[in-house]
Amino acid sequence: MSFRTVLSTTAAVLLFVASPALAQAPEPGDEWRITMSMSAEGFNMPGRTSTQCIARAQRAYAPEPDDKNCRVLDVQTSGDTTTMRMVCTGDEPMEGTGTFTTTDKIMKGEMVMKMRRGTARMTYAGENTGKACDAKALERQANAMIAQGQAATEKYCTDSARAGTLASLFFGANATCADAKYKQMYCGNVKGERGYEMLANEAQIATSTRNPNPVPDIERACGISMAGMERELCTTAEQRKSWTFLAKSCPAQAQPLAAAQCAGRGYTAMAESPYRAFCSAYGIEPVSSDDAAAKPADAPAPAKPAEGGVRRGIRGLRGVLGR
Amino acid sequence: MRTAAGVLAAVGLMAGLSSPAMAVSDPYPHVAASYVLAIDDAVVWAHQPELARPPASLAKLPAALVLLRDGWREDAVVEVSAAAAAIEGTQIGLRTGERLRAGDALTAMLLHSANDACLALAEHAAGTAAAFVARMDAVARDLGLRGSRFRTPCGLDAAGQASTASDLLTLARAAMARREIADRVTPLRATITTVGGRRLTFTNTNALVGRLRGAIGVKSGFTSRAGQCVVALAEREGHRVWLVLLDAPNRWWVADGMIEAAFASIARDRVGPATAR
Repeated sequence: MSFRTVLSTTAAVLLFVASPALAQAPEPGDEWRITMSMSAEGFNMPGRTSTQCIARAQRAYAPEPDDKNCRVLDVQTSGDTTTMRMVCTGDEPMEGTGTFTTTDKIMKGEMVMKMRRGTARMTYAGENTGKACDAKALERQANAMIAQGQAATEKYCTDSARAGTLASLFFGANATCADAKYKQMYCGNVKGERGYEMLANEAQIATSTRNPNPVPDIERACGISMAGMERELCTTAEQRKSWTFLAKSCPAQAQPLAAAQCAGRGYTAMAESPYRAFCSAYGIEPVSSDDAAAKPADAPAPAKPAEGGVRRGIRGLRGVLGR
Repeated sequence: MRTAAGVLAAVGLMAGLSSPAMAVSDPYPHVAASYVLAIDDAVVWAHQPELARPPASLAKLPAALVLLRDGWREDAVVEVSAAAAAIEGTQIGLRTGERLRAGDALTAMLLHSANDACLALAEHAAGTAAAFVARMDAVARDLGLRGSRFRTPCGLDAAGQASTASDLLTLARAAMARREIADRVTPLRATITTVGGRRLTFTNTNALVGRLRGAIGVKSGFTSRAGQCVVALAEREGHRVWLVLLDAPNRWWVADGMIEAAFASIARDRVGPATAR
């Protein structure tokens, strides 16, 4: 524990920490102006003044150490004054004494802590400004903001899960919407061709951004297998006439079909072919040079014997000139 | 002329704006030297969209805009010069001295990419090809096209002639905003009759029309330096997909596939999240 941490721990002991429970009703309080200062070996923090609303019921001093290594002992109260002893163990053991006086109009206190490195002293003085206030107002505001934030997160996570956007929201170490209920909503999208394409897209994004691939997590959470989906969908794609999916996602099935039905086929000649949509989709997919021969070609491959020199010359000329 | 320039400037401004929230991706970098695909007002896919490339016959789009803004009359009679009749590339077979309606020549120029009809119109409008090209550059400036410079009226290869996929998208939007152009690029074929009574029938060089559902234009292009090029437009269920491909081997298959993928993405985004493509 560093020396400065010691000081802040000491100061935390003396702060009136509001209860984290949701406060619905106002609590009568008084406005206090409090000045706090600290000093230690070679360190001085000048007095800082703040205004706080302190509940009247809370004004009786009840020390609560902020550090689990610290214990408050020998608390004794006489009239408006309370004395106590504090002992802290751990990396930086220390012992200290405190004296705190609180009346309706003033409060003052001093805490002196002795450590191996020296002595730290914290003092505070406060006066009741005479203004009444709601001691729970700040807490209610904070709770309302927290509730708003939680509601916004809930909506965002629900909407995103239902739409099946961004697996990284739901899966992985930094998932914002890691709750199982959102994962289940997300899993509702991972079905059929659209679901398979979602997984393929997530894998592609992970590769291009050099992030962990979320697909294994999705498979586990949703009880699915991407490879199994691919097998089932690709073996039936031609039967279902799902040409774009076949061309884009099923290379093992697409290539031989393209070689049989598209290779070298002219665009105009294929107008009435049942495979035209497939050839069109396959034509824009990137393929290896080995598969390039399966691509359709705008102009059909010539079927007649080699033409004479004059015709070759005319055709070549047309190829050069505007058309 | 001022009004037309103002319209062109407004179209250029509108076409240059894209949704600030739409990220442009490049899902098909392998299909063309350069491409741009827009869904309605937003460019969604692009590959080297500002790369300067020869435009080939896509240059006939700014040529058409020039013709329509400079005292255009559908029934004006255009006479075919020897230069026009002898021009290289795609033609409908016009003869020196032949006369035809300007509207018919425009149909041939846009539907069939006819260079003879194109040069005849350019000479009729501006006197010389060079003067006409200067007007094409003026149209480009009015539309805010920074990557386009023209040297020939009809898109034949020439040193210094270039455009970009982005610029061509802007040109296409401006062109299709004109009924005189939009109505001429949609049919599968057309027949015109010269003043002398010769009937000429020709087909749409845009292979997508009549084959890709919803295809309504716009223009094909090819030279040995430009490669296969196309500006395509398809409309389905109230959405328009625009595609410019520059130097795309197998441009028809590629255009078909990309436009289908674009429409599929519209449907997918309506029912679920957009994917990385």
